[in-house]
Amino acid sequence: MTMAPVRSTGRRSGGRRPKQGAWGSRSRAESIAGLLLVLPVTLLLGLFQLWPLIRGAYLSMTETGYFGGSEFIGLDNFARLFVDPEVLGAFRNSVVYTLVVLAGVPISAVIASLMNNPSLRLRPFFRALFFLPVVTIPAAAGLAWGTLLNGNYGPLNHVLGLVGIDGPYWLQDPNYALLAVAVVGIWSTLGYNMILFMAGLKGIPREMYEAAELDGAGRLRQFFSVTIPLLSPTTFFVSVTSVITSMQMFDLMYIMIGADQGVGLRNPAIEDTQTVVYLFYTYAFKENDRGYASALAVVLLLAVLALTFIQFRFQRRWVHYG
Amino acid sequence: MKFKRTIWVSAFAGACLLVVGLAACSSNGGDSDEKVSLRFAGWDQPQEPIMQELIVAFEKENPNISVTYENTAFASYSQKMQVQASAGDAPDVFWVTAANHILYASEGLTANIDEMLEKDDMDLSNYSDASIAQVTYDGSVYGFPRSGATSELWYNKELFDAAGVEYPTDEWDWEDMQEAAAQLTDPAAGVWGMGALLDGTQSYLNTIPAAGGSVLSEDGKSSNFSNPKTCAGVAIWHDMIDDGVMPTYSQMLESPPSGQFQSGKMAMLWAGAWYTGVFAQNPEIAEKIDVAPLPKGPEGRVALLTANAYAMYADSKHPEAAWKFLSFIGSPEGAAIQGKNPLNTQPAEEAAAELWASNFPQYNMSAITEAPASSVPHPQTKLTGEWITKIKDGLISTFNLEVEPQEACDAVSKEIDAVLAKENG
Repeated sequence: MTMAPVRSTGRRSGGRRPKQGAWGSRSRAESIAGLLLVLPVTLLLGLFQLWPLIRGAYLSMTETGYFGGSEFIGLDNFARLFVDPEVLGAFRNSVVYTLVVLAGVPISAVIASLMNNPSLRLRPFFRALFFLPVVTIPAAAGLAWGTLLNGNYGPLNHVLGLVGIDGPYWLQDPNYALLAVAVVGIWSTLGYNMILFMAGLKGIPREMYEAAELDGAGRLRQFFSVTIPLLSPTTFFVSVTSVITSMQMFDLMYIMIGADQGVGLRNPAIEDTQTVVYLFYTYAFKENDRGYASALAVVLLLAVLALTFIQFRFQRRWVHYG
Repeated sequence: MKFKRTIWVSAFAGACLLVVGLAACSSNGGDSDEKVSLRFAGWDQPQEPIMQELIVAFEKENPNISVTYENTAFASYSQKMQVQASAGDAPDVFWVTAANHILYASEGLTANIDEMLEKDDMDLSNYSDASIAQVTYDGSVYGFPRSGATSELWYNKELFDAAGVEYPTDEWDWEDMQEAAAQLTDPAAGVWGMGALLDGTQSYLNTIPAAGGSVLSEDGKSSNFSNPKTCAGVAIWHDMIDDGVMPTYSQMLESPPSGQFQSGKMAMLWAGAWYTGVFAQNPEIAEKIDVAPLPKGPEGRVALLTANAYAMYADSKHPEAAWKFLSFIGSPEGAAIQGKNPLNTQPAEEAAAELWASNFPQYNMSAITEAPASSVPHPQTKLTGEWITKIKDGLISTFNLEVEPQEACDAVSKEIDAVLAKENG
């Protein structure tokens, strides 16, 4: 990636490539100039992306002092992780959250097809409406949803009360809290996935439907034999990115369930709801155990890599690229 | 050629920007004669104007030192401090929570100020012994006590009058309180007799010593939480919730008791002295309320003294300037600036505490000013923050009426012991 701008120097020498690639003597000065141009972004990415990654991996094999200083302890932190019931619970919570968010993916596909329907009135308005949650700050969204779901005065429980249902404390009851956060998670990614599906739907050539119609396929048949297969690359992309982001969910959890938020009381559902990254936050910043927390982060990275790898392995079974 | 030059110029500019950026991050040196800038950190937004006033007064006397105040919400204050300290970049002067004092002092985050106090001839006689004890670690002083606040019983006179109940007096004990709470509770009007934030500081950490119990054993090496006396201090809250005169934990988590009290839906509230300014400035409630001392428990009247402190960073790049500022804050002059402001919390400095109380002639302030005399300090070990969390989590079930108090206390006791074992092992 860093070499790309350098290669474009070929343009000036009449389309011919420099003899020795980018480092040919004729373009040497320009090569250096090019390197200097990409230097800032390379250094910044290295400093803020690559270095923390390396540093985190190193920290995961240390025991850290409260305010700095660390001691190398090999893989002890990882051994501790595998017998820590909280870690197991957090992974379970993250997986449940991810599955619920994945279950919401078809909703965005349906909305996308509605949005593509030319006979829909006020289309731009509805598109903007569905996209708004994506550009809303998660903290603000979390607070607003927290108010909607308030167990004492929340509008949701009020409406349930009208039909005679005594609504629970959605964000404190271990049976509902994770689900409640996941619903907000679906709501907040709906718009982004909708845009992707809209693009995917537009990419299906009209002739395909015409051909299918000539072959006698009805609406339903067209949907299953043309739309779904040709939309599968988009579906694949959406599900891969959804899994990656859902496994790393933190902000909504912190705002909606987070212990010690606002009034200073802790949420009783925290252990049954906390995601891996929330637990990481607790270990690193509440309990000052950064080495151990880093080990958890490394395991999460490996888990996400594995999940993504598995999805890529299985894609040839169901993804059709035209 | 023009193209080439443009490339060079922009590349050079880019590189310069980067170098300048990096240099800006690390330029922090400076001699003592030169202008020095200090960072000063705290966690309470309403008190920020007071901190600014301190800074202005200090900078007038020390024109070559400039101070910037950085406010962080309480919920993330300790985390931020920990991250900054790990990076060797903590603020020069900062507030310290009662729960973190020993941790910071023992880990060398806060500076031992014994020698500097001696050099400057400051004797700290304007602070009570109890509050000095809360900034002392291993025989040395690590800062100036900032606040010395207790909790009191606030009540809504209008609701008392409506129910025909006598106002709380100095003589009240827990039974009087429970009786009045029952008479004041009116489910039809949505009025609760009693409320308290069940986070400890404004509730059970007061009633535990008043019942003759304690969180830790005397040597601080093991838990005393399963002791029936300790648990009696927890049970009093469970019982009032069970009687239906006080909301459950879950109800209070979603509708905080201080808010209910201020909207006239709660007749009594156990609240910290730092609420005085908040209540006095709320026109909805200011005229309708007054304050009384905490009711007496089986062992008499005991309040928890929450004392946070001002301290300086042990690795400050400008230790002399930082000490100048810190000692100014802790001096009678600095304390007076804090005391005269009604938004300040109850100050630890004695003259300042008087000055502060005189802001509220409408209330029975002796209930607040006399409370520190019969108070106990916050229980502390190095890992206070960790076992406090275990207590907070472990008592939720009993405050939600899911288990009996003693069962919850026994479970919490085991958790405290586990943390203490880690600390001492």
